[in-house]
Amino acid sequence: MKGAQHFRQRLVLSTLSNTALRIDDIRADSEAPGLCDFEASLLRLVEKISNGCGIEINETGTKLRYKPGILAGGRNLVHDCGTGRGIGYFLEPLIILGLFGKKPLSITLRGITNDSRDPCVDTFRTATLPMLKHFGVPIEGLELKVVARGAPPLGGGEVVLKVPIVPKSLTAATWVDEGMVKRIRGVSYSTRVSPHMANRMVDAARGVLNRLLPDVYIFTDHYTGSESGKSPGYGISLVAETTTGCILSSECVAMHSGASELQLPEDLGTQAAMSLLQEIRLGGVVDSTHQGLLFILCALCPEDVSKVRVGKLSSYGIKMLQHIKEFLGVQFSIKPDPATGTVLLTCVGSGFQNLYRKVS
Amino acid sequence: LEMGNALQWKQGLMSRVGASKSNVNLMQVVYGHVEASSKDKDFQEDISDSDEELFKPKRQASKDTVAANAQNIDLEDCSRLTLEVDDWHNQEVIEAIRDRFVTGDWNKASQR
Repeated sequence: MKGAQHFRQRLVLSTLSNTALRIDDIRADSEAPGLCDFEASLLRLVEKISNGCGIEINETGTKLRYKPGILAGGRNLVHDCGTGRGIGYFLEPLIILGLFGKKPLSITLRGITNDSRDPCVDTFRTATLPMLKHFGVPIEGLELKVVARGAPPLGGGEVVLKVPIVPKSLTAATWVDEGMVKRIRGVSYSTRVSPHMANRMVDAARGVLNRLLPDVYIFTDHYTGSESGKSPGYGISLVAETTTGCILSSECVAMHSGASELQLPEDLGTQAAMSLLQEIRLGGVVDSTHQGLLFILCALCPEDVSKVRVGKLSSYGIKMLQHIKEFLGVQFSIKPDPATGTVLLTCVGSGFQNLYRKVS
Repeated sequence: LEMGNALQWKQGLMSRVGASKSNVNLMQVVYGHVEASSKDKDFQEDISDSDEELFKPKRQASKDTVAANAQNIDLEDCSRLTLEVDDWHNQEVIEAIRDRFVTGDWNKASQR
């Protein structure tokens, strides 16, 4: 395989399918060639939760060989995610690997809790984790606690992730009814700025959403002192819950626009609310960010039919489907549903079982 | 490379036999032509949507990386994408999704 694209998908699927991975030409033509800090950090993290994996990187970091080991899991692990990418970047692969370990995983991750590229920890807690229960993951022991916030660029946040192991295998899901939106919840956080910022984001978001639904409640979460990380920042994460238990999410994080001024909280609130409405319009049982996770969960099911509905296929989702075929040999049947503009995907799971779990 | 393309072509043809036309398109986009090197015009039209999304996250990156966009093998690994947002201040656009909420018309929603 070539290039740094979709590094995490390859790493996760390689580990689960126990196939050695070789990637060439990682940013070979770039001014900063080779693996980035955050990718190296992710490799170290995988090393931490597995036994006997082999990682070889050439001098310039443009070539990587990875031989998966046994996923061990473990308690009270600690990992510093650095400031290259948000903690969300690490949480996405970690949650899947954690499910198929020998022991349940509990790990403290330090770094940037909210940034504009990766799903923030709030979205992860309110939208990603509940998704797993549709596939038979025991909900007890599945937890993400935000100990401290860390805004970019310096981070300083801390979260504790707990992932239970899958007893034997996941259960296949037929999950096609997106239902109707019954309530909207959210978290508006601020750190090292005036607590008023969080309220301003809430007001703006409510202004957009209340025209469609009265049941909108957004928590404000202000951090001070040691829990507030090293940089000032604020942001908002919204989730729409439907009558059938689907959760769609959207989020917005203040970025430095040009002259090191943070964006206006009103703009962020409006923007997040509008993205949420957009996700609702696209339809599907998960939002565009969670398509990849949805597909991999379907593919890791026992040999049984899973059927799911998504809105427009995202590029990340498409790539995930290709990688799933390559590593697990699972091909989805993909049918558009013209009446709703959504896409129905059906697959037979790969019969994947948690082989590493301790047999008692 | 040409051999690979030829094979991909055949795969596309084979799946076309069994399935309806609208079905083929999406299957092709995902599995048929993994690399966007095909000169098939239909295919190019099909993937134009996903191509836009492919490049979107990078636009936020610094201008230095624009050159890197050309070859996407080092594309940024990012599951979030910036959605093309409609004008939600427009009342008509809002009415279009009113029935997706419990406050909307349940009968209309069930027909969906």
